[in-house]
Amino acid sequence: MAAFTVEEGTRAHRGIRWGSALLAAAVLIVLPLLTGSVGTIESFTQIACYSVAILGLGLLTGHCGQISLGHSAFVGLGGYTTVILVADHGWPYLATIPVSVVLCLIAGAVVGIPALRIRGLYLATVTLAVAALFPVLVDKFPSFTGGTDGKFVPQEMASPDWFFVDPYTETGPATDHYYAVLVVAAIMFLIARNIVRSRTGRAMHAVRDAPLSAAASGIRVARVKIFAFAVSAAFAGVAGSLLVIQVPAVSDSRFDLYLSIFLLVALIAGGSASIAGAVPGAIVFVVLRTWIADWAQSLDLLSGRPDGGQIVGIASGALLIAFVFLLPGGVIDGLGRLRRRVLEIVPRTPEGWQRHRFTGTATTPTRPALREG
Amino acid sequence: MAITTTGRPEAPPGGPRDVLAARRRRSAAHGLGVVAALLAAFSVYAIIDGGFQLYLQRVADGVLNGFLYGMVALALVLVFKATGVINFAQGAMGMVGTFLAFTFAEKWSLPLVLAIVVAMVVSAGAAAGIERVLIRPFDPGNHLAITIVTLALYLAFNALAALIWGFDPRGFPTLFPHDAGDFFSIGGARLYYTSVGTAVLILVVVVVLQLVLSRTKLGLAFRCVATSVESSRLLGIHIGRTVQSSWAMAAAVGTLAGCLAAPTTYLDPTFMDKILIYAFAAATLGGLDSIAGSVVGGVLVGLAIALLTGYIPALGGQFGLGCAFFVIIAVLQFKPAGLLGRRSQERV
Repeated sequence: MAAFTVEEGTRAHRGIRWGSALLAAAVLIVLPLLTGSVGTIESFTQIACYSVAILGLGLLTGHCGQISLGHSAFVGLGGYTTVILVADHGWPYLATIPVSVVLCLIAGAVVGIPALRIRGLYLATVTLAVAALFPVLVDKFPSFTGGTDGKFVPQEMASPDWFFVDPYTETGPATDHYYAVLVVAAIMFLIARNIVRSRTGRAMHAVRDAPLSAAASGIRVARVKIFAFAVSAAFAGVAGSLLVIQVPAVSDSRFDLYLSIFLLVALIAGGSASIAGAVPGAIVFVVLRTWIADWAQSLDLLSGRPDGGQIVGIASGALLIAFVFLLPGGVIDGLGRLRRRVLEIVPRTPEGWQRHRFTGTATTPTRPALREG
Repeated sequence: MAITTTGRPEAPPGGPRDVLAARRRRSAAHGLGVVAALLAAFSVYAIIDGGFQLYLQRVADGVLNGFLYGMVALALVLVFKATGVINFAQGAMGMVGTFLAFTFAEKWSLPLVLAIVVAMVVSAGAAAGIERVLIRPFDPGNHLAITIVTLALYLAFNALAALIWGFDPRGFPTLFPHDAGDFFSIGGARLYYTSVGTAVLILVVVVVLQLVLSRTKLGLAFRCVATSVESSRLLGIHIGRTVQSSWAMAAAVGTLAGCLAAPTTYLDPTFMDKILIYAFAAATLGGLDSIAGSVVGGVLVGLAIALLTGYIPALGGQFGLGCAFFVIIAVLQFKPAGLLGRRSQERV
């Protein structure tokens, strides 16, 4: 039993929620000022970027029950949009994000419309082809995208003058990028939370849990699924733009099928049906893709062959299977269980519930006997 | 729960009053007719553009590649029919099986035929084990979780193969005579013995599988599980074992497909990735629940890729993936059940 029990909607509950939100915001704001190294700040920025992509994938997989393997392409689309607009047309970085959103919404709808009208996980096959196609398309138009050489922006994003971070210190630019990414990511988290709580969000849950019953209840199943996929693609596009703010360069090999699968691994590890799960998911992603990969690169398991990536692949496959089997709700579910040991939040009892109280007498102390009611 | 429209007791099978079967045949004929018309129209353009001999050569190459895609599609279809799940690890499993055959042939110097057969048996056993340990614990209706597990297997198998065998591309020996002079010549187009032998072997496999599935008790159990898990359980069919045998058969077929495909490209841990996407296109086109459809779809996808990338220079050689993508999109848009597949009805 929990040590503390708090009723939902009471002052204590609101206090806990606001307190924890403020605490989280304070930690996120102070975080780069505490660490002195550029590498650590960049890792935090990466976590924030990827958490947006994972959040988008979660809207689709966790809340709507569809799998996409094409999110690498949408992240890439967002990234290339930002790079091209900034490098060739001189746009400011942040102004390119709405363009990424619109492009990815359209691309998501175009891919989603044929695949999502039908029942089943057909979206996965279509998007697998999209993920494989994206690098080919990038190489196809080298004048536009830079082709196999990749494309980069000579000017990093600079902060406005009134901003409190001094850009001429060693960690200054990285800290600037961190704050910019953090603000955009926070907005995306709010949007995602509101989508899930909206009518459409409830419809998404219904489509995931019982598509036929949802259709029978008047939900337009295909439209909800296409909406979920397009929005999720738009989130991925924002993540791509944010990644470019962090490192202003893109290349075709950066957005391959493995990125999609790793996003899925991170999503399942973090907790697919939860907004907050995107954060532990992104931490898992960055730890797997950069830290463990770098560590494994330096190992010399098989006669000097570069095998770092392979160990990460095997570990991720094993991790994914382990989570699906042991903790399908992801890390966030595990944390929630731990929290419930200490602090239980119960729904508020409706007013006047005594009048509607079930009047049967129980024959056994645990189970009320329905027949005697 | 999917109920196929043919399951109605009042429709006598094969009789003149079997309206639904007739409708299905008509629908399949209509779809095939549209595809044939498209092909014929493009062929006219192609022959005018590049001459008859080049056209014939490209058609031959496309068809023979298409048989390979069809075989991988066949493996996908075997698993899909029994479980309703698309096995994303199919390509990676076939790739590992091919590496096993390669290792048996190189290290233990087994004859190639024997090496391939041993690899097929080993991969069938491994797939049966995987099914037992990783797939069966899930509710058969939980497609999302099973699909995620197959993706995890894809990741793990690719990484494992890269760790063990490395990324250096290797040549894989072919089963058939492959000297420079070993070809038939039809209208100036060269049909190499390797390609023809591969195609014939694949056709034999398809016929055998079709016979197994239509004439044996195992095949009956297969179709029963594919139609309705609940009813099969009531009839006393061991669902797990049926699904397990479908995984084993699919893995053996996938390994054979890998061993036949490897000589046409080279052997490295990624060589099946592209073929897997073509196979998805083939299976979608043919109908994900149709054995014959997978081979028909494979041949059509092979033809489409050979002709489109061959005759439209703007697309370029790398654009096979684009063709596969458009095939999948077009099929899902216009004929979601595929050319030879069955449309299923749903009820709450």
